Amino acid sequence: MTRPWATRSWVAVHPTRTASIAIVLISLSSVLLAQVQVHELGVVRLLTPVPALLLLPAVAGTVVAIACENTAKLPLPDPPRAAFARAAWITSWTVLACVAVDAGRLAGAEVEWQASSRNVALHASLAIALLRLGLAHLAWVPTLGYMLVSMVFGFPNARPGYYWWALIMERHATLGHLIAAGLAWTLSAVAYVAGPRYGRRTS
Amino acid sequence: MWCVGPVIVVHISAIIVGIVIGQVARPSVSWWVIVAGVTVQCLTLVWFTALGSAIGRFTPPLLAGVVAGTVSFVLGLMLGDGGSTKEFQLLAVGAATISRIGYTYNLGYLAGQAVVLSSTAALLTLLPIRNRSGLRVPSALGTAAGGAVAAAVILSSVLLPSQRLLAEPRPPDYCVGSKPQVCLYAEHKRFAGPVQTRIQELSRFALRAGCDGFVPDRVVESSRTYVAGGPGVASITIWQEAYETGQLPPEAVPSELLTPSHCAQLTAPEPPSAEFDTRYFSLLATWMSLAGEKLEHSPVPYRLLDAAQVRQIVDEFARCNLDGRP
Repeated sequence: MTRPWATRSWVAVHPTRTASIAIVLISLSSVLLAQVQVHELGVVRLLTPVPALLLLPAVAGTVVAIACENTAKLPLPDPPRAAFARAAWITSWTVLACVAVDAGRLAGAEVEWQASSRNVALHASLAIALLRLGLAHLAWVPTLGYMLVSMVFGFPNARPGYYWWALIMERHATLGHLIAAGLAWTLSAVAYVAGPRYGRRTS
Repeated sequence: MWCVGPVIVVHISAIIVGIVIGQVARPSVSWWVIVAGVTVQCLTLVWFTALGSAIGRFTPPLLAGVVAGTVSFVLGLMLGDGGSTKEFQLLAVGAATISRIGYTYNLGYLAGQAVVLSSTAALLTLLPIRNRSGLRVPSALGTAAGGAVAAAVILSSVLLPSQRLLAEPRPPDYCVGSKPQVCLYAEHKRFAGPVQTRIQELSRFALRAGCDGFVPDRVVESSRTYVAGGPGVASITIWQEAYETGQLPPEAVPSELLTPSHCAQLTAPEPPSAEFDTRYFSLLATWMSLAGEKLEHSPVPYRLLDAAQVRQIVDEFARCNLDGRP
């Protein structure tokens, strides 16, 4: 049974306040950008206009990793229930991030929730990889980098459509997309749950 | 702010490598104008660093990177090269997927960018903060400095020149060979050999068949603002594929030489008549057939022409009588 002090301690050693503010801002941005589509990046005209709500997950995925950073970095015991807590923590923040990005539907956004959630899962998996390397403050580099590379180089000139690896640009999430995104997120989540990056494991 | 130094070194190195690989010893615009353009690009790097530094002072360390990255992305979309072309864009530093020969930088535009970027970067770097109930907020002076940055960015779009590039329609001056002489821009002299070889090959087949109408006296490369034309003069543009692969597609040279690019009808909102298409593709198919090649793709049916018909159509194209009406 979880004691209240344990929950309070857990919340206190994670940047809960910062991540919560970020999630609220993402929700507001999602509503404000509900109808916005990006047509070009610099002089590069995109293959098709991309809804802003498919780009916002780059930020939301980064926030998932930020929320999971253990700021205490103390060599404390790591009993099994701590691993369960980490699993619940990362799942909760990922769901929160998906809901925040999807808030734009309240303002009439026509983006499939499966597509935006797929993008959140993929970006979160990249950001969590940096978190596992102890570089949570740089978690934004692979997520924003992946987004930019997909926008500029994600489609060939010779034929319509995106390359398989630029799936975050697709408006429609196929079953294959969802499996790939789910697998990527699960792998990174398992790595996160397996143990803290900092601190000596004493049990 | 020190971290911008290595980034500037990488940026300038990439430009120098491009110039060396492209064998650009004598560019169409002066080196000083190029230096001015690159200086503004470097100032933009400084500006983004100053912006990141300012954001980092007010934001928790874990969040600062993603906030600065997102703000920079949005500002790049709004004030960069993809933004409005009708007003001054502070962060427009140039980008193109096709040749820009024929344009030069508007020095007034670059000077405006340099002044606004330098002054606002200095304000962003010095933006003072104070602690209030554990929150880092700008001091009164910092708030004024932030307001000044926003005002400078907004006012600059209204007050400063709107055109970053100015037309500079000059003919190319790197000429090789005779009958026909081939003139290219010095930046493209690496294509002079393949272009000349292809033209001589096509000319030989045309002259052997008595179709001397195909063979111009001069072939002159077009720029974005200069197109040569008229009797005995053909224009040519280096195709995109040539930049990407280093090879000229076989149909590129005859297609270009036969296109009357100097005629206003080709750039008018109304496309030329279907008769022009038929005559153009008939000329192209005839010339390629004389060289033992086949025109693979034609949007209209074509016919093979005799020497007199070739001469007549080429002369009419030179006079911009595209559909052959009297």
